[in-house]
Amino acid sequence: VRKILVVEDEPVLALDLEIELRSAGYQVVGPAATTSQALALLEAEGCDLAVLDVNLGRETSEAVAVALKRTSTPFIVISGYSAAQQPAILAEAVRLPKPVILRKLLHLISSALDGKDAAGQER
Amino acid sequence: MMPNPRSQPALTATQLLSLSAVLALLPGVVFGIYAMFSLIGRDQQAQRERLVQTARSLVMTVDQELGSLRRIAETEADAPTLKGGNIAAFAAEATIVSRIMGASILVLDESGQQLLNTRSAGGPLPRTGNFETLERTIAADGSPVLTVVKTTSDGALAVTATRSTTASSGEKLVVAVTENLDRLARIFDRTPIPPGWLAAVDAPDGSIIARSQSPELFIGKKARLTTAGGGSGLTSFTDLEGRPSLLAFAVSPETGFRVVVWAPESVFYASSSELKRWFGGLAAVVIIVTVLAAIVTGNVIRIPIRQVAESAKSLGHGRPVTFAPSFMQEANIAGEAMVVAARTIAERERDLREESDTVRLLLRELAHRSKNIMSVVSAVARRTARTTSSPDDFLNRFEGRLQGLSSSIDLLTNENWRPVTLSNLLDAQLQSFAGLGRYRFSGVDVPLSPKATQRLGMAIHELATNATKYGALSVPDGQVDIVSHVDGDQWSFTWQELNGPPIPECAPKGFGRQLLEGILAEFGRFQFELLPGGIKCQLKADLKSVAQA
Repeated sequence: VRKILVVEDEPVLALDLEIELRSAGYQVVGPAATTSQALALLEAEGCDLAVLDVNLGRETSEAVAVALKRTSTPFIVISGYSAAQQPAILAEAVRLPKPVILRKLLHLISSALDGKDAAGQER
Repeated sequence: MMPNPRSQPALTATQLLSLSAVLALLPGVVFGIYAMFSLIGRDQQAQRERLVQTARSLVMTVDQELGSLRRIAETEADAPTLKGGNIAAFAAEATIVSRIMGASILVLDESGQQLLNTRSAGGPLPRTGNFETLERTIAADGSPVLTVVKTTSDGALAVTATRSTTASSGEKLVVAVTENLDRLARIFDRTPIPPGWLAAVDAPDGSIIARSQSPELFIGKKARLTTAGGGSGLTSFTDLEGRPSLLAFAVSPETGFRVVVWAPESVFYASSSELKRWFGGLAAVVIIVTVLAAIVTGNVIRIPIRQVAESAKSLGHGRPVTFAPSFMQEANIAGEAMVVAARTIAERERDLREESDTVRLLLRELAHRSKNIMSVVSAVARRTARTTSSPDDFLNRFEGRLQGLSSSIDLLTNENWRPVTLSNLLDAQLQSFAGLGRYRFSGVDVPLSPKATQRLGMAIHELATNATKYGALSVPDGQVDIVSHVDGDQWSFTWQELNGPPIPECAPKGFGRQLLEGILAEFGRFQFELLPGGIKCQLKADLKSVAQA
């Protein structure tokens, strides 16, 4: 079972994502509402992919993105802001605008995981 | 180019100052001209009087000179030696007198035969050639007669005083005392004549016998001037060189000799001309100095005014305005005001820029919030859809949740997105469920951050929905107690239903329950109990996370 880290500070969205991802057959790590929670979960449980909301109250999920990139873990960025208003690492990533269309998110997740598998097999 | 703001022609500061300076000088100049002409008039009057006075005083001197000649003639004519017929003795006396006086003394008999001549070198004496004088003298009978004669010796003119006398022998004799004109000429030394003036003495017959200048050319000639009556006077004439001249004359009432004094007007009025030149020069200097001062002052004014204009131009173009203080206070005030105005305008522009930046930021924030709310609505819709059995059921639940969300946003908007109080949120969320009288709120009315307001609002909506459908508010006597308690920085919120239907039908299920747990877990520790009177839901959270999150 693939583990997906959900970083989202809005409880309703976090709950929705958690339920939908779980019913799509993934194991959900989190949801985390802050970067420190997310980094702690990453440390403790790890994940195959992460879904990051850019804005977490007073902080952004940049630090989580940096940590994910270091371990070559794919991640998908969800944001209400345009790319120009975000840190480079988040602006360059695979992005989904708010509000999220669930079908698109699931498609991006599966293709990212497939891409990761392919890369792993090549190695 | 500076456009002239008025259509009428404008003068520069220098021109205006020059004009006003010249206007200010005008009365002075007019008075100066009046005073000058008055001075000149007085001076010329004095000069004319001096001319007449000089003629009179000269004629007195001439009279003195002629008087002494006459007295000698009288004295000699009465000499006892002459009367006694002792010519030889008289000759000795007369020779002494003639030497002392510088005059020659003659004695003639009735026929004109000279009996004595103090000038004679010797030899037989001639008869006189001047019978006219001889006859006049005899006719005058003892009164002295003055005549201008030509001397027989050298033909030069001389003045002669003649007097008849009768010798004891009964013989008529005439004594003539002759003086050459040199002595008369000396009167001009005794009475000095101002430079440029001329004077002459005319004999009663009109011949010139003395002249202050070039006597050799004029003596013996007839004077051009004729004065009838005598006395003294003033007249204009043109001199021999053609110059207009002014002449004063005085005729001796005693001797009929006349003195004329004259001067060309150019000489006579020389002091007037000089006064005029002085005055003209002074006036010119004063006007030039005044106009120069006006030009200098004009520049002193013009430069700061131009600077002020430059400042105004800079102000108009929004460039920084600088102003170097000048000598002109008014310009400094205007310049300083312009510098201050520029600063004020710059500050206002900056404020406006900041304000528009803020507005842009706010609009961006608004878009962001809208998208967040859309995300929330989308999630609520999805969760509601997944947990309802029919479209009607979906719409019913979804619209309720949407309204709850909307109430929270209304509340926040009314408070300008500043913290709202718990009681306000409860009122906003609960007013659409049953009557507000079914709820009882007690405890501390804590402030809630916008985020907390939105989330807690949804939780309260879910709790109220559940209570209305299955819990205490589904029966007439049911009631809800809401208690807010603060202990240090710990906040506890309790929703307790009383007099509700028996459990477990009243417990929230499905998404409502999930939502409550998800939301309330976000704040802190969350407890859910099923009690006989209904549910009891308790939240314990950090007060700060509720007020500031």
